[in-house]
Amino acid sequence: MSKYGDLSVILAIIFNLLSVILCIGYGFLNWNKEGDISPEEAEKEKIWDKEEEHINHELDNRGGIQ
Amino acid sequence: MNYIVLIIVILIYLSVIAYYGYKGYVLTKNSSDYMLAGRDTHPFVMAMSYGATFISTSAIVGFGGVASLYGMSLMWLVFANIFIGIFIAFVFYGKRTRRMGLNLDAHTFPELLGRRFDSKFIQIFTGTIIFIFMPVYAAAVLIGAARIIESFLGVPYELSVMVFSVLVGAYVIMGGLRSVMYTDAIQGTLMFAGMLVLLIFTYVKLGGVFDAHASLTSLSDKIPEAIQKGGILSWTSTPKLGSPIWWVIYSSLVTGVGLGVLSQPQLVVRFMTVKSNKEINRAVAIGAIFIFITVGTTYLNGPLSNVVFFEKYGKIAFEMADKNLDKVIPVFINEAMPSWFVYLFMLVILSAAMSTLSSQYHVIGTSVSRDILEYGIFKNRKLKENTVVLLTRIGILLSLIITVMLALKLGDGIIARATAIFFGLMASCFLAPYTLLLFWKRITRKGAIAGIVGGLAVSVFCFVFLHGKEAEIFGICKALTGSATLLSGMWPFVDPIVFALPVSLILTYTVSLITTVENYATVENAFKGLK
Repeated sequence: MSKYGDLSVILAIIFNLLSVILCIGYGFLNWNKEGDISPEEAEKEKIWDKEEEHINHELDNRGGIQ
Repeated sequence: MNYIVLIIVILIYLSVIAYYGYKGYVLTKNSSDYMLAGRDTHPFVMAMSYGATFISTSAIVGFGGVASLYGMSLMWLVFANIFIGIFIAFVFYGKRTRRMGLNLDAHTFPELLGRRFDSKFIQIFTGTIIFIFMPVYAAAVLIGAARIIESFLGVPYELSVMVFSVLVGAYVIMGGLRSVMYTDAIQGTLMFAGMLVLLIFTYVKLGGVFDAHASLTSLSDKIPEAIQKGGILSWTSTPKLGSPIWWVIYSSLVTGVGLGVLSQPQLVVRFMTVKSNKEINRAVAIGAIFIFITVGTTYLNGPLSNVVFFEKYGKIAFEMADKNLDKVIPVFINEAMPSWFVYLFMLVILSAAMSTLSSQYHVIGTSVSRDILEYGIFKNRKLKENTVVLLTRIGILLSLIITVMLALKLGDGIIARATAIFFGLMASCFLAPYTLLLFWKRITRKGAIAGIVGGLAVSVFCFVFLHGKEAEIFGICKALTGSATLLSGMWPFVDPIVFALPVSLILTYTVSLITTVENYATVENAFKGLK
């Protein structure tokens, strides 16, 4: 054991840094990837988004559900 | 410390939280908004909400105190929190959960399980487990916040518990998950900033990273005798292999909390709040940095507080906190940090507690309304949207009352233990069926029920007859057999998850293999868009 800690603790700190790098790398490499949504589904979702916006607008006018 | 300044800072903070709570309230139109924040949450908000919910006062105050006594081997828990709690959870569990939740129109974790197997029993039973056990974890979070308020502001503990709980309950009841997630994002940002300052300040105070760690190593002879006998020989080394503290750290804390995060209902539901995998991908990077700074600081700062205290007062942290581990961090901030930091840290703690507590109240509330009442007691009635939201609000109020009562009853040093119990229990009951339902079409309803009930039964058996601390509290084993636990040696220190999780996994898998899938159409629907 060194005066800074034993191998297990030093390894834990190194693994911490590596796992953060892994997550940052993964996040940036896949930043714009939609994943499991097909182009058709993406198109459908866009249409639904517009409909949802319209419904929300209507609900706003009625005062919502609170 | 200037109390007027502190009170002004807190009031400004509460005003910001109230504004975002109100914003969530205004944007809530239906039960989907109330339970899933409309499924259109921004990745930053989702990542910060996940992180801030995950990291509570239990981690900062409770586990920070434990780290001051058990040392830096807890850095393995930070690794588990990042690698399992963020990378595995988001990349492998999160994306499938989001998609499956959408396919099955699930609004809560119990509903996801129930709909995947077309089983009202699974949904109601899961909701009931959450309703019974989550208040214990919520109480631990509440205790952490109340201890800090008591320590910094001199407000009596009981009053702190009640006022704080009412404050959090108010915006959860009004705005549902939208309010919870908006306020979580603000609170997460504050936690990140405060913990980063604490980390830098501590290392600067101790002459840098290397000097600080070397000073901590040189304090080995100051470790209390009982802790040395338990296996800790240095605060910068791992405990002796197989010693009681080795089992506590690696079975309860690293395994229980590290693995338990994967099946936490309040965290799983966050994956269902985003629109696509893009948001989850982005949240991976943000979440990892957040966890590294917040949790890493806690588990480094806990042990290092011994050096700071020893240099200033000639005492270690455990002695400075009157042997109550829950008081180590509050005392450290009060005694060792400059007064301006006390203001910032107060906000960090309020944020950590409010963000987790609000999510816990929300999950308990939705378990009561959606899972137990709507699908159980009122199963034959078609409830209106307004009624479901009203029932959820009543559920949240009920959970608030139970949590406050528990926080007033539970004893000293309970925070880390109560958190580990809840995380371990959730993993023991749900991790195996939840994992298999996401990845394996062959899992059956009977297999899932066997896994959940088996995991719960083994956990309860271990708490009552095997695991020292809980068995001692229940006293049933002592009354029946004359000894506190059934087994001696290292076994009273081995966490129940070590037995319960494998049993749950084996039961889920084998019962699924010997039974047939009951609901092919639902399974196909659940896996739509998933490979």
